[in-house]
Amino acid sequence: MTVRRIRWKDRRAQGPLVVLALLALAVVLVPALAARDPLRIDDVLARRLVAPFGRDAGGTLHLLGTDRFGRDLLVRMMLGGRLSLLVGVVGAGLAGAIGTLLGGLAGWNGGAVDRAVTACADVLLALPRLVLLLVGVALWQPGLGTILTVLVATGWMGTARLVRAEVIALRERPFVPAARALGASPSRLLFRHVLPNAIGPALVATTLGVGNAILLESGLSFLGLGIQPPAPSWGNMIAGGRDLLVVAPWVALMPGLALIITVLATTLLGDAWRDRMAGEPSMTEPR
Amino acid sequence: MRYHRVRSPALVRALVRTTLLYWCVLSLTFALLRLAPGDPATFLLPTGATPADASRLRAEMGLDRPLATQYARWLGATLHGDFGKSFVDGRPVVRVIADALPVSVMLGGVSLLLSFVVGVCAGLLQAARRGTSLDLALTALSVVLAASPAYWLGLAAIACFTYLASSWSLPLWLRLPAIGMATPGIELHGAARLADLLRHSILPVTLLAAIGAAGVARYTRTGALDLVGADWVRTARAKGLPARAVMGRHLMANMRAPLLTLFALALPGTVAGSVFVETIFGWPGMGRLMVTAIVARDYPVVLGCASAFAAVVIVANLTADLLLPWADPRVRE
Repeated sequence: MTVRRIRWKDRRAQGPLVVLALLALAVVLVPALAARDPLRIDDVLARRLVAPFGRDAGGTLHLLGTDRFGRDLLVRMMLGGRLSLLVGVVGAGLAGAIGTLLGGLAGWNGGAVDRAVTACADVLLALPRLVLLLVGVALWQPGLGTILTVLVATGWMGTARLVRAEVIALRERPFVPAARALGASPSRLLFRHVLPNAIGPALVATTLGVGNAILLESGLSFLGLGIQPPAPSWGNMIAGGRDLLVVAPWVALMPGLALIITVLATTLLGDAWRDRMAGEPSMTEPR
Repeated sequence: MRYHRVRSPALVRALVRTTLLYWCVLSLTFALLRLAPGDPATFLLPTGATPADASRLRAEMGLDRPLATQYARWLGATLHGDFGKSFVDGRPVVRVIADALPVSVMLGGVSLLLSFVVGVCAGLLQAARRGTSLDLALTALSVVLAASPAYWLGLAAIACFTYLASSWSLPLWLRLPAIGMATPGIELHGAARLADLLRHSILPVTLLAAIGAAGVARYTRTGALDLVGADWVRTARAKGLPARAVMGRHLMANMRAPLLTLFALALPGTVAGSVFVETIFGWPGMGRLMVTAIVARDYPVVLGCASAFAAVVIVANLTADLLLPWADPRVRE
């Protein structure tokens, strides 16, 4: 029996995976190897607004230039990238896990559980996600914890709907009574037999959610409602370059390009995996 | 006439469902305010208030009463359209929102319309020319647009059409205004005023429409390609209809229902996009209002905006649901 499955050796997925792996590596290594503390501000006049590939007065090379306080943009961007990748992976991952669990329970149990989960999802989907995020940071403190909490609280509904539909279809497949006849308990049936078969669409939705989470976090930080300076995040770095568009366009340009590349890679990865699964014979619609 | 009997209970059911949904959303804002750390009275008081003010407000809001009583009171006030008063200027929240709403409706409505026109045309074109370099280029463009933050694209557009346009000495008509809805300092009337507004809306509307069109085009392309393989498409082609007629009439008739659903789905995206676009371009709409209210800790306005956004989304979903039988006769059965 063919199960829709994601393959790591998928050709279309390899490009985005390599880009994301390199990015993760750079994000970990570059700030760790940096000669100067990326948050330190000193000797502003000698270092500030060095153009990309330029050298400051002390002769240090800055690959992507420096910002208005003379801090190296590459190092700061990689520090911000740690945060972006963390928010994206943890935010979307947790939301995906919760969505899978709730959707699975709703589809498996039906009845009151199903109605409660569906109603919660409907209510949360009635508010645009950005608006919910804005309300969250308005009522609590802007910061990493709040952003992650609200991202998870507002990100599980899509996955839950997908998994619920998948589980309802899988429930009727012959292998379920077969496993039950062998003495599997209901929870074992759900978690060992049904959910693993429904995990593909959930993984695709989660992958696509990573880019979305990264964009939302950067947007909040851009508005000054997310990660607070001096801690760098791509969003607040772009905000910092906003009034330097004429004199030093690279300050806003570079973090934006990093954002686009990252989000593009996660989107292409999700698309590749989705097409892979759509192209294969699926379990829920036997041919 | 036959559908009339079938439809009205469906209408009633949809209305009841929508009302329930909106009630849940409003209750959610109530719950969020109570769940937030600290006393709602301290949230709802402007900075500079004394402890005496706080206890007066607490009594006024009935915060010393049981939670159920508080909820009933709050619900009553909300049903009367009373969302409280803004901390910043003391005006009723409803009035503040009524000032900002038309700006957002204009910006969002025009760009949503444009994004559908452009997106559907581009998507159909891509489906018809599948695999060509045109299809590839449009796909690449739409994927990159969808991955780019709206505010960053906005900054890039401002840089190109203001600073760069003048430093490259481009023609005057390409040097576009980037901030606000009207040229400050001049009093314009009639056609001149409209022209000024149009010039100011070129950048924000184009940006918002382009982002929306990217999504619509991808969706249309996928949907059209799914349909292209259908038997009735081959029949229509075999009987001699030109590809344009098959695409324009037969395919579009089948795309109407999914596009209607997409229209309701695209609305939250437009809301989110307009938050950034309004902030960047300085348009006094709902998105900017909400952001400035958060910065000013103006909680009644924040929650009022959230309720208004929810209302827009819910009404759009209801409209899409009610229009579905018109778009797709099969669901009437």
